[in-house]
Amino acid sequence: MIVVTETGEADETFEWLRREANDFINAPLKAGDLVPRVWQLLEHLPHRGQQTQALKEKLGTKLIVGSSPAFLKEIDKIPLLAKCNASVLISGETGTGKEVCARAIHYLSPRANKPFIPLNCGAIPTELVENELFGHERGAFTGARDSQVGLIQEADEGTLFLDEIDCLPLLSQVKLLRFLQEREYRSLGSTKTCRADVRVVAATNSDPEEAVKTGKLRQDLYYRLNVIPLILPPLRERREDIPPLARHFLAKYSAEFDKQVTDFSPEAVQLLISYDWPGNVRELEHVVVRAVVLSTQTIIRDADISVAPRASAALPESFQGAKSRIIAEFEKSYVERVLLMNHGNISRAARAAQKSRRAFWELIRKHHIDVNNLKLRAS
Amino acid sequence: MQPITYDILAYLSENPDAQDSKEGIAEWWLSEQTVKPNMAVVAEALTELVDRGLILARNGKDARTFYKVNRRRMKEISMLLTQFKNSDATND
Repeated sequence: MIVVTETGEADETFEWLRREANDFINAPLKAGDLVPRVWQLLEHLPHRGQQTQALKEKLGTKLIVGSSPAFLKEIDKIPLLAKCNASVLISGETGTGKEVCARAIHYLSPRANKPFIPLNCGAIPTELVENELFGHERGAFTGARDSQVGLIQEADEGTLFLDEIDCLPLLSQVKLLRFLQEREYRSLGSTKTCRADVRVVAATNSDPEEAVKTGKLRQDLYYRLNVIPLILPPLRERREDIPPLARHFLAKYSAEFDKQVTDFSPEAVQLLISYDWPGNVRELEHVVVRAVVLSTQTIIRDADISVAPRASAALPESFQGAKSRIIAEFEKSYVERVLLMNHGNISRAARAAQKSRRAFWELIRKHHIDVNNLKLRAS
Repeated sequence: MQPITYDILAYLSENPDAQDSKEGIAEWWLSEQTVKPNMAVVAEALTELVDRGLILARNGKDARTFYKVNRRRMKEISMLLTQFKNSDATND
């Protein structure tokens, strides 16, 4: 069954997928929407139960350890996401497993035997991103002695995973949006239009709606990518999963480094649970690796766990300090937003904020706001 | 041939369009029978296969490398897999 939805609401989409719909399309139907989906359906008709089981087997060592309802609620979506062809936007702090989930979506989908191409948009110099994604023709720029295929073409018939999507330059976001809409693109220096059948899974570790508000992420691209959101909770919101995760890493790295380390002391477990883990599962893994490598005993004690002490537990912030900090954050965020909305024009922004130009300018200076940068982002 | 090298080639022989980085290969390409190796072992196996020209590596600008089969060497890969299976059967 392929469902055509009018509203495009994620809740409605999930409901259809839970009722054994195999795929969905948002109205209006366009030429080329239906046939590829029917073709895939005929070739592969996975059963949800088997998929969930396969997913748990594959991911169990990294993600399905533990029983936190908040996390399992998101993981349960993955077999449904794998069934359809829609773009997915995965949100979550660093180290929460966004790439692992993106791979699971790919390898449980009909595209499993095709390429999975990950790209960290934040790790590439801005001027190289477009070339990396779309490729170039010979002679397109100085030094382009040969043509080169971009990652979109490499991912043809497969999945392209774009991590830190909000770090993509705005011009590249425009080209990516066009590709998502038309399945067409042009490589640098080429007048020829190319086509590719690629499923895009994107990820961000910032709040995507905030990124849209500040102009880092185009709103139209966000809506195009966020057809089905997947939001991975931080480790501090699933503290009950910390002990089993820690024990899993302990077993893994004890075997890998041939150490006889078998468990944590109760105090060590308490310390692990009380820490906030800003780096999430990845940070927990590194802490356990360090403890295993440096351990000379079979039990890891709290002294062997090297995490920064929780400042909030030892020295709570004063009321006045907290109030000043929150006011400063509000002022900076508000001024930046108003400037963006007014394309960096200070006079217009001041009028919109109902402040004198002088007072508004003082706020800009107080918070070291780079107006020129905002002008560029707004253009 | 090491079991992990066999696994990678076997996967590519059955899925010649597959491509991924070493993390994905370690997690999704190796058979259930292979004891999950650490990333250093996987990286070594991939380097060996690239050096032998059996797989191709593409270095991304984000310092990640993707691997895919060298389609010109499919026949040789098929022969190597058969040889490994036969020698494995002989040793049993």
